[in-house]
Amino acid sequence: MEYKHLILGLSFVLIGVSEAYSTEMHPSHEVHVHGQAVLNIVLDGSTLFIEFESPVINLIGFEHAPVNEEQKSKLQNAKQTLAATEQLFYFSTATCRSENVEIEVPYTNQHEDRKLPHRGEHVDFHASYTFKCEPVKDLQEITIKLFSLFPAIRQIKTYWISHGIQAATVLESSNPILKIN
Amino acid sequence: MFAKVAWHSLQNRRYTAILTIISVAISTFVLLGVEHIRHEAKESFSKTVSGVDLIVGARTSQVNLLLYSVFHIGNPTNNISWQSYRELADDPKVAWTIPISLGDSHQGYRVMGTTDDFFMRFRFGKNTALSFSEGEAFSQLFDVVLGAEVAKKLNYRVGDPILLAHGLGRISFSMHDDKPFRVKGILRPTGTPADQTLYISLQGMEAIHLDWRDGVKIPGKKVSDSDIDALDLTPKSITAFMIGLQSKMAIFSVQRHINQYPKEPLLAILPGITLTELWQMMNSMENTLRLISILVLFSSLLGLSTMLLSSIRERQREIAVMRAIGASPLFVFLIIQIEALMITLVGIIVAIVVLAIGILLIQSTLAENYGIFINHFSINNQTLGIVGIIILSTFILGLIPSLSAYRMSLHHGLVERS
Repeated sequence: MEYKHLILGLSFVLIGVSEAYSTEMHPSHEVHVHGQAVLNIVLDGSTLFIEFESPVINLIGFEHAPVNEEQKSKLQNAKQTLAATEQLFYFSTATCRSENVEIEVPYTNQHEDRKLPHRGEHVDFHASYTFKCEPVKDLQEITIKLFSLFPAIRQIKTYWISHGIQAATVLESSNPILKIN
Repeated sequence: MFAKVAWHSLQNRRYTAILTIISVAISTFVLLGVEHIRHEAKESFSKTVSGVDLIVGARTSQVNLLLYSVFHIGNPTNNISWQSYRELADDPKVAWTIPISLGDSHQGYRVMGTTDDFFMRFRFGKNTALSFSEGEAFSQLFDVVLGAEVAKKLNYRVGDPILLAHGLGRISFSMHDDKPFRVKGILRPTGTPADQTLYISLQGMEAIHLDWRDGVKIPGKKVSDSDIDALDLTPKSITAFMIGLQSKMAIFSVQRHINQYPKEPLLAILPGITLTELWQMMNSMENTLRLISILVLFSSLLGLSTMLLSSIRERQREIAVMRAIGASPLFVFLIIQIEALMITLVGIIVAIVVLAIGILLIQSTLAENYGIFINHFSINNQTLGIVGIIILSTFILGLIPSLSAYRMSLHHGLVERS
């Protein structure tokens, strides 16, 4: 009973909070928190799909179009790191073969390059990976090694879907293992 | 023999003993009750919806959308337009959708406007489909399908006429009395809020509101049944809709697409993830509840040990006589411990019996008014663990009086105090 009231009370608080936002309309902006990245993981059949999204500053230390060679090479390095799938994820027991990697590097579009970045404009890195895993039932854990590669990432909000289960968890450098079961 | 001596000794002080038993029983009741309801509420929530990839509604908080669309708790903040719904439902990535239109009621039960897809696609528990105990899905404009609990409580059978009330509430003065519905089917019990709901078609929902404006009936205006057939009954808006996708792979991209939908502020949630986030938010409250029940238990066990300690003062003579006729200090120690244990055990048994009966009694009230389904109380490993901890704590706190009796010297009670 009390429990129920708590839920009700909580939802009213949340309604109140959300109402403040609902007046603000298009265009929509995705959440952008420095130090935080997002992983979306879907396991369907033997296909494992991983989507990574992070504010640019977490990966290269600045958030504007590169202005010198050093910054340009940082951007390229980040791209290469994100492309090396075996460095990013470790799959327990199951063997997962990388099938497809797509990395969206910001600031590389010529058109975007010419215009000066707006003050305070937020830019994200997107990367998506597709793996084939065999035997898929052995895939119980995924170790996310992004924390050591990009120390500016403090936590990764992870949303995963596997065999009809949807769940969310927050990974941190002290706890980088995602348990899927 | 210990038990016998302890039992008689307790009988000698039966009023204090009974009060202590009640105090132990209440605290055990609170502790076990909180754990049971917490566990069951979680179970009940997580088995309510299954197989739905996304739920889409007007932009609000994720938890709010989940609560009103699936659990019928709270109220929608806004509706979404029919055009947006159709546009998103026609996306090739979408396999099926279940539209949900809320707002009316019947004797306190919610009425939900939807389509046939609800009966075919909706899943609960471990991927169980809905099925009919009587009749079938609605086919005519004024057909209604009842949840199991609605039919049982209000004693409806297939073919009965039903009047729907405008808005919510058990007693309503604005009835849709010009458009009676007929019961077409009754669903099998699911143990979810689906049992507490009446289902009509979206067109039926639209039809009963035809001659209404600004929330009231327009006097003198009456749409006859033959007129209705000629009208376009496509709804202007719906409350929310559920989505099943062709491929799970697309969930996050479809979610992003809907959340950034330019024509209308929409929100798409993954029900399972929103529930997890709800539990994470509730975590601190759960811990507070647990802490409070542990403190209540601690104070009642402390009360038990105080009771025994003060009884020892009265029983100095009794203890001394026991020692004089040859009882060892260990015997005295055990007698006191067994008394404490007896009180706690009786308290625990009383608590479990009262809890089991209490849950049986409030089960239907909780389900009807709050949509929370609590299973009857059963003793599982967790219960045994808690009982074990209570007994262990009794032993530890019982050390205070029993050690004090143990150390009491032989002559202590025999010598008359001046």
